[in-house]
Amino acid sequence: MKKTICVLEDNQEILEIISIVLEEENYQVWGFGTVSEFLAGFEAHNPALCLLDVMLPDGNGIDVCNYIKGNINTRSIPVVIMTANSGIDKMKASCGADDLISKPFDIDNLSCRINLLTSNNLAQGI
Amino acid sequence: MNDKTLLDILCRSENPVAIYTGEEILIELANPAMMAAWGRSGSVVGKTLSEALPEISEQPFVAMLQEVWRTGEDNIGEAIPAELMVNGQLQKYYFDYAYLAIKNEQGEVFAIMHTAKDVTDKINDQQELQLARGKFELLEKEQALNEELAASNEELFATNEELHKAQEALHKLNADLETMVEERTFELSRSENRLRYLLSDAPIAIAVFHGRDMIIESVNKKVLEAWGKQPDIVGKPLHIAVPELIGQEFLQILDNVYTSGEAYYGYEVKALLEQNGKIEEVYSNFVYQPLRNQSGDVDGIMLAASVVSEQVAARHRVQQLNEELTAINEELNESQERLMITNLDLRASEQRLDKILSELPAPIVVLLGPDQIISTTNAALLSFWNRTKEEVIGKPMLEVFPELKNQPFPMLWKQVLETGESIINREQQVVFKDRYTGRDRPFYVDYYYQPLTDLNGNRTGVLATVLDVTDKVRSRKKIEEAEAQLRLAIDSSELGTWFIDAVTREFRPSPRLKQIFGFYSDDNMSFDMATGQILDEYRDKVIQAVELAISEGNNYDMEYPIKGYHDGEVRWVRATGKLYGEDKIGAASFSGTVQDITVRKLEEQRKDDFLSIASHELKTPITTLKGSLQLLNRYRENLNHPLVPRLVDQANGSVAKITSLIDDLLNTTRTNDGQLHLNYQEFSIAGMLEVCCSHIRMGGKHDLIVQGAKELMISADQERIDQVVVNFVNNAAKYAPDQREIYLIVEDLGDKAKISVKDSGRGIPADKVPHLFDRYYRADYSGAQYSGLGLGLYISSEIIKRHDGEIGVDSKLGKGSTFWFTLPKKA
Repeated sequence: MKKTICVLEDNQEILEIISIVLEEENYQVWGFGTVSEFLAGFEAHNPALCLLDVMLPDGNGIDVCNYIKGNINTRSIPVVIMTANSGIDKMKASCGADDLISKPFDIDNLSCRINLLTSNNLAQGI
Repeated sequence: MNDKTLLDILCRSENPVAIYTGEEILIELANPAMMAAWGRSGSVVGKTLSEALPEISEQPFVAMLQEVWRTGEDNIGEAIPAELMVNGQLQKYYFDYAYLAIKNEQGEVFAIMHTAKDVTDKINDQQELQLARGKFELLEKEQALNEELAASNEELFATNEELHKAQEALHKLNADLETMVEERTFELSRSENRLRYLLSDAPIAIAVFHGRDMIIESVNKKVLEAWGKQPDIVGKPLHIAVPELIGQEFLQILDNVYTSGEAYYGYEVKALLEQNGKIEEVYSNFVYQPLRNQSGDVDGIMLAASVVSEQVAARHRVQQLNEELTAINEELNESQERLMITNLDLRASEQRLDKILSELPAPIVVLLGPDQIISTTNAALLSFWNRTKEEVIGKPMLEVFPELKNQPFPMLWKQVLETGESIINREQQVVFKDRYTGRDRPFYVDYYYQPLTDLNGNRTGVLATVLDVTDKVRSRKKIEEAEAQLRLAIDSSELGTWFIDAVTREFRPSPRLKQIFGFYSDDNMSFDMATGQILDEYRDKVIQAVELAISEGNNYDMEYPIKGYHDGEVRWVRATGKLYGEDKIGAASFSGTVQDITVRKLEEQRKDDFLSIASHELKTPITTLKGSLQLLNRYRENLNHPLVPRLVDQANGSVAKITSLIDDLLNTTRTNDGQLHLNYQEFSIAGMLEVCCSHIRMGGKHDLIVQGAKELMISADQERIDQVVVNFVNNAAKYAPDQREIYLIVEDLGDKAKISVKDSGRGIPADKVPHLFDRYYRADYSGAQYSGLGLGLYISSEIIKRHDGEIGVDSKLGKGSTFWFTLPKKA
């Protein structure tokens, strides 16, 4: 069965690229353009990983990360944050995200990291 | 013949012979003759000579023999006396002798041969003969003498008779002599008495001493007076009679005179003698005259002395007086000298005074009498007046300077002369006429007029001291002007100024400064209150910098945010300051200006934000571009993959986005330089609106609804206007993402057309509205919620302004926003 990845990204083009890349890795990709949409729908898909952008029209990726990690149902889901602002890396590291990837990213690098995190999750046994 | 026979023959000699050996003079042989000579019988052989003849122990023979034994030299002599014991009697004999040293072949003495010849009788006979002869001679002499004696006796008899006669004559003479002597003695004793009296009453002290002990033989009244003694001292030794002389020099001198026989003269010698029961100093001139007896030996001394105490005392007094006089004279001389010096000093100081006066940099003049005759001036005054001494001395003031007639000064001089009160005035204007051009030349002077009085107290004139302060006044006026200009500049620049006393830390802010810090101009604002308004992160740094600048003289230039005291608004200020007068004590102050730089600072901040946002924004399309190209790379062997076309489109799209973003940036700068060029065209507004913002329409998220005056035509740069509308619609889409409808409304306002883009998003807070169209402004800084550059609205506003139109927004929180612009219709 394919693993699901939930992506929070408001830029359509980037979302499309990510989807292509991840689908090539045999994942099912669900994309959300706003924080509210994401929070409403992601749990239902039971994602193996969440990939979050930071700057969204109605919210902040960090807050979403904190929500996921703070929620007993979802805190085991690995979270990857994408950011174009390299300067804030250090601060975001404290938010509990499992990984940080900066834009523009290398697609092989992206897939590699995601694969790593999803396989880890299996090993831990949900 | 053998030895013994020889020896016997030898022994028969009638002369004594002996043979000795050894140092001890051992008798080896002695013939009978020798034995007889010695008066010995029996054997003496084997004994020493001394043993055999003990009586010769005191006589030299043994020694002589020993000498021969030792030296080996013969000893031969004649008629040597020897006392020998013969027949029990010691008798004197004479011998001619020979001690012969007998030597062996080696020359060593081994025996002494002693031969002797008894010549005693011969000698005795000789002696007898001599004796007899002597007797005979004596007899003859006696006889001769007897004869002489008889002759003498006769003579003597004759002489005796003469002598008798002489004796008788002598007797007579003696008798005469005695008579004379008696007479003489009588006279002598008379004169002695007289002398005594003389001496005794003489005004000179006279004393006679006798013998070495200086027994007082006689004294006169005067000497007794001098010694303070009574006549009973006669007969006593001097040192007992006048015991106080002991220890003084006189006794020694007397002794010396006695010994040497030479008189001693003393002149004004001091003696300590008893006078009236007290020991006093007595000065005398004296002589110790030695007295001799008949033999010419000194047997006494005469003292003659005159007491000169009074003269000495007098002379001492005179000397003292003389000394005092000399001292007084010296003092007088000294005083005279001092007086002379003082005189010179006086003259010198007079000269100095003259010199000082003449060289005084302050102009001074003495005006005598009611006509103000110029009497004394100095160089400084003459230079001020631009006149020479000859031109002014002796003339009245108004004759030299007629232009002063109508100025207040003549009145003032009269006043001083009459009332006797001084007048001082500062910075008065006086106008002199230039002596060559005749032009009026104004001066400013400080003047001091004093009345002058003569010795009787009458006022004779005015002493005027005049200081030309024209330069000072002019400089001050210049400074006042400069200060006024500065004030103006500061006021117009809206700079706040402040002053801190470096020592007391007194803080004086200008009203504008208070305003900047958000206080009212009549509020009290202390240094601590001012720094209290500085935002926390900056406050300590600012205070430290101020301290450092005051203490070290460092440069002070700080930019920091403050919160207004009353309104709480955050503003940015730049404060600069400098230490002034640090080399003058008590004058050091730290003062400077404060400028409100909020506008600039916010601009800077926005620019910084913009740059970071710009880089951030550019990364988004680049991400897509990169992603697309990387995916394409995967399919490079198989370009028929269905995703390929899509990816190529994505890549192109991203490049377009990047380009457009960069264009926006460039547009901003282009707009600043005024290079924005407009291409005017006529076109239908509604028509433009229908086809614009295709990307939004394609996106499918929003509906664009055109409303209003659809036929309206306008003359403008269509591309630029399109840009504005796109910007508005993008904003609407971005800031109201959940609402579907976006309305595009056209309105005809007669002279202008109005185009509006309306959304029903959350709206914009009222305080953000004025800044929306500022460069780099983004409505919300808190968090990075809204992406995109703040350039859009700014560029739009610039475009509209270039069209001479207006731009604005109406917004209500929670309801939505309507961004609009107007364009003038071309007339």
